Amino acid sequence: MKSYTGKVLWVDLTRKSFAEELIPDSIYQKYLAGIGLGAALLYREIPPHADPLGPDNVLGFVSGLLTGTGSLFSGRWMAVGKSPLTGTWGDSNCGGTLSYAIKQCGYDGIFFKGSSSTPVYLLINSQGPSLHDASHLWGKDAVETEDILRAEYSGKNMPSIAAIGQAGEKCSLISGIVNDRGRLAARSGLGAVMGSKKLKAVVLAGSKRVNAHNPVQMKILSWRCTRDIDVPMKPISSKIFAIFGWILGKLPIGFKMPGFLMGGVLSKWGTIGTFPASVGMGDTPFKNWMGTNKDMPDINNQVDPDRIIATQKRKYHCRGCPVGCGGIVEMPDKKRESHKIEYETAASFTSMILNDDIDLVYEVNEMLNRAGMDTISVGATVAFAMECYEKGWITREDTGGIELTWGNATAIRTVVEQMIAREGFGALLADGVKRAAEKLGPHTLDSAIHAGGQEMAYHDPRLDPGMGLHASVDPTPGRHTTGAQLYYDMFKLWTRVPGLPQSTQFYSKETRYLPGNGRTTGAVAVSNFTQFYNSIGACYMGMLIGVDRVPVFEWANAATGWNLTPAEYLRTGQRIQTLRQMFNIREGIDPRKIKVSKRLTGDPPLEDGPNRGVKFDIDALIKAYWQEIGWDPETGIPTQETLDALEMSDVLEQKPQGVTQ
Amino acid sequence: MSHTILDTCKGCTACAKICPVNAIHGERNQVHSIDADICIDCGACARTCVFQAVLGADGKIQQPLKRTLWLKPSFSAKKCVSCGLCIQSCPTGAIGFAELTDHQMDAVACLENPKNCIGCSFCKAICPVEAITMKTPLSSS
Repeated sequence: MKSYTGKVLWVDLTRKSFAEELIPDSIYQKYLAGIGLGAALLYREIPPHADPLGPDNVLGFVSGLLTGTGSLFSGRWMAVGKSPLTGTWGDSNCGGTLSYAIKQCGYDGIFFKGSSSTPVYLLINSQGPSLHDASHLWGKDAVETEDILRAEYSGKNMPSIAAIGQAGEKCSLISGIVNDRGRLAARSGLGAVMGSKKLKAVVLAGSKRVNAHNPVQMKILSWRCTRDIDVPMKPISSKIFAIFGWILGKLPIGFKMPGFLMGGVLSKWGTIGTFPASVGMGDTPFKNWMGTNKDMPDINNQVDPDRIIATQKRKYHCRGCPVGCGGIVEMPDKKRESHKIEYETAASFTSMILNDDIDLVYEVNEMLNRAGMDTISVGATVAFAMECYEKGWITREDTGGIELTWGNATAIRTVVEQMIAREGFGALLADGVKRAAEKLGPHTLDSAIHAGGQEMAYHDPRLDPGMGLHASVDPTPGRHTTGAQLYYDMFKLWTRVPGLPQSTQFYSKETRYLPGNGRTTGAVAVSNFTQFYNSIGACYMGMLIGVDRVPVFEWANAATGWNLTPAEYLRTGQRIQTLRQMFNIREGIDPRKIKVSKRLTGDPPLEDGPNRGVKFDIDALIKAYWQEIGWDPETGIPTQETLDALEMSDVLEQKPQGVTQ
Repeated sequence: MSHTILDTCKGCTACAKICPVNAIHGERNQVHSIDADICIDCGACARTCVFQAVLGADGKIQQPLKRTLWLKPSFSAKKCVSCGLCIQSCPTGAIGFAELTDHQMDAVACLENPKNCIGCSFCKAICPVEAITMKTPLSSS
């Protein structure tokens, strides 16, 4: 019994044909499943310089190696493909029910190539895969689409459904893929790839069982894990975290964050529970990264996690997650329900644009979830436009009469509506901040905050330069989920991997901005671990609890029957990270040109707030990272020595094989 | 090895109707067959077959059992950690989360649709905290 199915499905949308490909065990052993399997197959299938919105691009939905095996925190799926937003390797991660549903269909991944001339959706049930006309769904939002398809296909098994909304249909480069009625694989603009292929939805109604090599061991490991992560937070108010953050923001020293608290915070509040501390310590950006928490001194009352969960109707969990950070809340009109506001969405539509109307955040969150648009990118682009308006680079005439001043809730709502519909002034912003700045002119480029075209999530590199480093060096740039110094502290990889440096309990904040002191080794370890857990379907929030409490390596061995050490799994992660980088190199991407905007490195420095005066040399951090991971420190291109050591010739030189019609 | 149907099958179609994954095919009054690639070894067909024409995954003929006597899961709210693995493993959608009055609390798993339950015990097998006990409806009441 294995935890993987050993095959993937190829769907040719041009020819309307299907093919199963058997995947040899050796590929799983070297690239695992999830993002690793996706990288191995897409490197082969996407021709160099393919148009991301053309038929040559491939869009994959991949499940995790551990999904459905009885492990915890391992119900995540990923969309993979070439990103139309950045031109790089693209991937986007989401929870919910789809990851298990992919495996229930008998596949570790479902890959789409070609493009349909008319809207279609894919159905997989016990009769096998089939494509169906989706003309009646085109134009509907993702939630409406899901409801219609669910009503049609709910039989003995409840299907799991992923769909695009209007933003994906209109090929917005900041659109995502929606599942479970409003949860998004939001980043990399892969919703636009789905829209370009005229693929409206994927309906998975398979019923196969997922196995584990040693189910008894899986169960024992999961039982121990539930015991080790139980941190009740019920009597604690979120106010205490505001005080905690404020103190951290004042101190000249930092300390190793205790990961074990993460489970409790997420379980009670969800990611919004981290907002008060983040604001206080200088993690949350204000006013398009130009401001500080002093710009909104009352923000912790406006974005109060305790008040937000008071509107919660019920919690929800990804499958296999005992934490359950998700929730369904009652909208301010008391008539509708929506997903609980996440940290990133709250920062996007409050601090970044100086909006103090929390009701507006509920509203745009619901609008964007339904339209299938990335709340991070939309907020960043609106903030950019507001800065342009303030500086006179955009006038009221340009906006069609919209008074785009900081915090103007009416204007924000109108602009978001226009971005979704790609109409009016919103059409200028509908493809994200980089494209908008390119249209407005070179004088606006420094105000467009991104890395490689991907809008940065709201964790300030001037507080944690690891955020800026990973956003610059990862093959999917601009992402907060690919690494940070904070993550190294919390993952606690040194407890499982001999030779990795242990984070010090306390440190001077100034030491964070320099390579060395074990920071670079830790950064590479975080990258490698991230690729590992993205391949097994694990949740990074769960991983932040720490591998000393979450037995992720042991689960992998018990599920597969392998006997690999944690160090060997990190080596596998390095192979995946390097393969994704090779994808970019083959595309002609210059890694030196996808680093974060200079404002995020303190150029110019902030004059106030917890990060005042901070300015650091991101290039030095990048070079040290490249050197450590085995890529050329001057160019970021993986060295031949590294490629040989990682034994990647099987994928780098592969030709299509094993596909059976 | 999946369940298999013997030549003693009378083609009554009861097994095909109960199969949660549509793995059983055959014409009425003809010997039926199980698609091994689809079968999940839940055993519902064997428990249903009054002609004892179904071999279990262990190669033994299963005894039929009146459906009202099939085991059903009983959930310990105290032990449940709300991970949802039981919901995921249930092939009939019989399990769900119970409604709670405190919206900030984790909902615990429960037998939401008892009529759908086929007594496969997959939920018990995967539960990491032994929160599930399989009981006959009589004993669970």
